[in-house]
Amino acid sequence: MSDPERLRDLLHPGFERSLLEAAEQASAPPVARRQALSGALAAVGSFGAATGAAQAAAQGAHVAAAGSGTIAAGVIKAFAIGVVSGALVAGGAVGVEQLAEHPVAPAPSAATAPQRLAAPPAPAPPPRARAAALSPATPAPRRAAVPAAPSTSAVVPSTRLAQEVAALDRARGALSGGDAPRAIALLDDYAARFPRGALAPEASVLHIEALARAGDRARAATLARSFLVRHPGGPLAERARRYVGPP
Amino acid sequence: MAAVADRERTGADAGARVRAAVAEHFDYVWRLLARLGVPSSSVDDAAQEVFVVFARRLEDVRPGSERSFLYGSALRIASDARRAHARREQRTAPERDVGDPAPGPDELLDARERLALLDRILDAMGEREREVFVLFELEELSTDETAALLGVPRGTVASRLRRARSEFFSRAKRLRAQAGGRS
Repeated sequence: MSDPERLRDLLHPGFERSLLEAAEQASAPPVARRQALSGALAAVGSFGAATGAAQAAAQGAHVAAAGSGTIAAGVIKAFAIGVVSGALVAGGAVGVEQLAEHPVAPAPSAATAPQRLAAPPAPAPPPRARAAALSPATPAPRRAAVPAAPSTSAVVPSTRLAQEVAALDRARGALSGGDAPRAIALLDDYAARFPRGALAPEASVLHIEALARAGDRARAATLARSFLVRHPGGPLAERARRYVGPP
Repeated sequence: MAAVADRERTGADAGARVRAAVAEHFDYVWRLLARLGVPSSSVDDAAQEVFVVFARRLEDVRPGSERSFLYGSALRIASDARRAHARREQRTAPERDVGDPAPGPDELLDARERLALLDRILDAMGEREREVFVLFELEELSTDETAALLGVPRGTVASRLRRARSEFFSRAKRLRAQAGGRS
């Protein structure tokens, strides 16, 4: 079965088509924003190796986020907690602080900011819509097309994720403070509140770690094996694998 | 220790994968969120949220299916944000209708005004029609990709698309009539 033609291809030039085309010319976010995000998120790769330095960095990020004074800071704060407490790369924390201090920082000119971050050679060919939209003739995303809105009307996009992150951080805090039973209780609470949580895999691994720490190695091993069936690869699997025990 | 080295390597790979995804998809995710009705003041945060979820669930994302995962998260987050916004709007101000005075004839409209009109038309669509319209007409995904992202059969995509198109035309016509544009 073939796809219907796109409206844009069906319409003669005119008002309706110009509306559809406006979407393609729509502005992109400030480059600075994307760069800061990229730096901060890249740190997430090193799960589970929290150190004193990382904790300190996380605290700095909290303070910066709390001080930025907008409603949106709530999300940025949650973001900072999530990223930094799970990781330890100082560069990540710096990125987060920049985000928090300048939540709507204007884009630097395209001349000074590299458009693309250091990324591996282009993997898959982009779909055709992108090939059109991503033509090298339009290097600098234009912010002008997005009507500026007062920051006071900022909406926290989804408090659910922020709550998930906070719940897991409480559990992680209990575990690193040596209170494994409390961590387990907090993780049970997390599972009950967010049965299909976005961070469920991370919660599972924390649970495994907490059980092992509490002395229940057998149950930790069972859960670790079951986790590895569902999630055979990645950093979380690496963590789970340590608890599988002898076959 | 080999295990530590392994872990560090895995971490570095994950970092590179996240960076690559941000570089390749961030602008599209951001634009998708805006067209799906996330208020402009919140698009930055919503886009950030999409990538936070991605980074934290990296291992669940099959290499090559990054875009599906990101778009799927964007659809979910946009839906949440839209609802939160609608609740707030109800309390504060009356909903703005597409019947608001429109700007002048279309040859005088700049890209920004056209985009604002498009968003008004999209705002007036039902959520399901809007999602299909944005994914198929604006992001130019295929019917199959749209169906997979929304978790509905192809036929459902087709019928929603028909409704969305008819909505698009009737709203556009009204806006054009108000503006006194002829084209």
